[in-house]
Amino acid sequence: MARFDLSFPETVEEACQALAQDGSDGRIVAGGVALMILVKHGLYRPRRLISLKRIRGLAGVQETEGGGVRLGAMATHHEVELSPVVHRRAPVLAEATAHVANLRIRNMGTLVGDLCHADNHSDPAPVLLVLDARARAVSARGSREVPFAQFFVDTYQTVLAEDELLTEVFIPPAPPRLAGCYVRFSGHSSIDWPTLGAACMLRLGEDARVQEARLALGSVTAVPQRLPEIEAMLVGQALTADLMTEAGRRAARLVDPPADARGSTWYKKRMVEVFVRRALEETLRRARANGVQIP
Amino acid sequence: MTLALRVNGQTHPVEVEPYELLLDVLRDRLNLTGPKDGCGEGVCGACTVLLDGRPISSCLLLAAYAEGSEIATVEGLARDGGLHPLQRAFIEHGAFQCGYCTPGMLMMAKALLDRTPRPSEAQVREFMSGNICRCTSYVEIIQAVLRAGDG
Ligand SMILES: Cc1cc2nc3c(=O)[nH]c(=O)nc-3n(C[C@H](O)[C@H](O)[C@H](O)COP(=O)(O)OP(=O)(O)OC[C@H]3O[C@@H](n4cnc5c(N)ncnc54)[C@H](O)[C@@H]3O)c2cc1C
Ligand code: FES
Ligand code: FES
Repeated sequence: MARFDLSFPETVEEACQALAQDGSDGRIVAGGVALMILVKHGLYRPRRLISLKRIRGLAGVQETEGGGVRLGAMATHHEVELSPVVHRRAPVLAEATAHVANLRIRNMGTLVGDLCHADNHSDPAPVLLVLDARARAVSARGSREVPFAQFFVDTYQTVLAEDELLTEVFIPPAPPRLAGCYVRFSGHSSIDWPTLGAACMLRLGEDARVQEARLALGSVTAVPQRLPEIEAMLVGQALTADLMTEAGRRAARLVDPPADARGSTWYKKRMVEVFVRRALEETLRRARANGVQIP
Repeated sequence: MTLALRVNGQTHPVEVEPYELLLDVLRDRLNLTGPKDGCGEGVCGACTVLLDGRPISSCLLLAAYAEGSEIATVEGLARDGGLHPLQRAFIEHGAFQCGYCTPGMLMMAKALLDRTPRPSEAQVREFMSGNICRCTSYVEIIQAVLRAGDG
């Protein structure tokens, strides 16, 4: 295993200083799950790892004023999965994090580390897209907010500069009557990375027509993506079985997933067709359970 | 760096390199060879230990991350020469063949029973789903955990 230094700054400022000083030799480590695998396989040889573990302000999940959610950079998948705040304000995120890996990894790996690692098979990433979530990036130069819609550049690549780190993720308060779900498929066993994941949020009017639609796919594109074309075709419509089937068909035409161990391009496109339809059906079912009358 | 690691209720001062992982430190420095190196990448659970009661994969945890936590390994299960109820149940049910997965299975099951003393079969299956047994003793393992849960 490669040799590296490991430091434990106690404030965000110290961590930023360390990153600025170390340049390309320095790298943030959160839970270390993704990094240690890369290091063990010799795919990455760090010189200096800067750990966020002892920075107090980065822990946990909090409700923000107005009913949004703040997720600290050191919040693990399992903390997010169990958080009462997440269950109340963004239950779809709890649903997605519960699918990640196995319990041991969910106890070690952070949600923010999952996003910064930017594997396109991330389960939470498409959910953060439909939640319109954003991240705070901080460096010795200052701080900025980045919406997740602009965060992912390519597989394993984000907009973060070498000297930047994420301190937290914000999920804005959800408008009333928003229902959602995350559905995923894994061909090996349920604890494996997904073949694909689909996140959906819908706001239905009193007349059960779609007032707002948000749909995102993970695993089948180079970065997790919203599907604005499909969202647009749903708005103003009643969600009939035909419409949901058509939405799935069109979504499949929008993606060109690479063939790999999880399936051929043709197979994955068919799966997109099915899972976009299922995500809509399940969201509709939940909206109904929440009391929206479907004529 | 020098770490003070709390393992099975005892504090061990150990000198480790910053890049060392908890599994290697437990096995090679503290001679606790219960936790095993299976896949080395978080998948199989052979290296499972508890950190403050929570199961983790020690094959991926930087050793320095374990400082300040209570580490529990399979070596700490038996008390005063008497086996832990889980260990007895595993023997009664023949819940292993080669035994490579057993230390991890036992610690995973301990984490479950500490939180949920009388789990349902569905809860056992779900909780243990991330631990792999190459000899496929799954049916016996599930029975053993359920039996130990009966007290
Ligand atoms: C067996 C296994 C199965 C898995 N299955 C799934 C799955 O089904 N679905 C899924 O979504 N994921 C899955 N994962 C991935 C797992 O969720 C991530 O590896 C983990 O969450 C990464 O978090 P971490 O805190 O360990 O990140 P680290 O390894 O600490 O960091 C990962 C990367 O992000 C950077 N980074 C971390 N935090 C910050 C920060 N705050 N600011 C800037 N950069 C940062 C690091 O520099 C590094 O490049 C699996 C992993 C394993 C080992
Ligand atoms: S050896 Fe750690 S999970 Fe397999
Ligand atoms: S008993 Fe052999 S791996 Fe489980």
